[in-house]
Amino acid sequence: MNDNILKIRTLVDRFFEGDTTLDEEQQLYDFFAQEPAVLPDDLKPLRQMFLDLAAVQHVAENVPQPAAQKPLHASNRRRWIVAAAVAVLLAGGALTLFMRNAQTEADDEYVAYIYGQRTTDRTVVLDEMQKTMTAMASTDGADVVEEQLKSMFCNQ
Amino acid sequence: MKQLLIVIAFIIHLLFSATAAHAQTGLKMNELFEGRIIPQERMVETRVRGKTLEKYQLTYYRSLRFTATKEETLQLRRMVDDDSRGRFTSVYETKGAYTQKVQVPSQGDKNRFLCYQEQWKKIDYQREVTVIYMEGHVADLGELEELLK
Repeated sequence: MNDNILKIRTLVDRFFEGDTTLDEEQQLYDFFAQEPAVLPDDLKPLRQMFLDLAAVQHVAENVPQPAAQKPLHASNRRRWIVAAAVAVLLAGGALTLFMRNAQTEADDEYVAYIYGQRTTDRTVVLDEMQKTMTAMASTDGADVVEEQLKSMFCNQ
Repeated sequence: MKQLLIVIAFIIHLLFSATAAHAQTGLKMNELFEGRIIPQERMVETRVRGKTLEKYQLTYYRSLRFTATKEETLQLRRMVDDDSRGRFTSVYETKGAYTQKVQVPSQGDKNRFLCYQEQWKKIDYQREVTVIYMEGHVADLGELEELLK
């Protein structure tokens, strides 16, 4: 018994030095789990501390282990979701840029290619537009009817 | 990562395909606007987009003007006839000119019009051809003709 008490005292000293192994700590927990009456007086104040430590260790041992690695198909699905989200963001950004460019273009475009020569001179472009519009409108409506009637009856 | 790259490449491809599409998409006459019938060096092309067109209720105007041979005009007539099939069309023919105007299918909220005109030249059966493509909020051909007067 005295040898055991001596060993416990040594283990207690090593415990406070931080040198005890898990097995030795378990011996301490078991020793202090005894009734207080059997403990030497000088060790009695340590009993509650070792009981608390034993309880903490018990809780720690019963904490659920992290879940096993998820199946591969779940990982793949997550990867696809990330890919889709990135793609949607990218598409959204590109579409916004495209719409902005389209809007800018819509606000202002004056271009003419005159026999292969490009010009953006607004006056030249609008003159050409007016010329083609006038040409297209000149044969419309009453003038055409008049001309058709003339060609129908004046040749007789 | 490979999957991600494939998705990104696909989206980019779709976007570029969409931006490459021309306004005249779906028309036979698109071939002319793309320069596959008459080379650009032989024609005067005009493209206008903007506030100037508001008074005509248009948002886009594109015209081509060139001198064409008899064979070319025959081909162009066939193309404009194809584009006119089953659509609202007005045709005027006089001693000196032939004009055909078509309301082609709308795109979104915009109505689209195609106008084709040949004017006779006195030499070698050559003709001055004018082709106009227009987009905008003009309701129909009648309204367009009123606006262009």
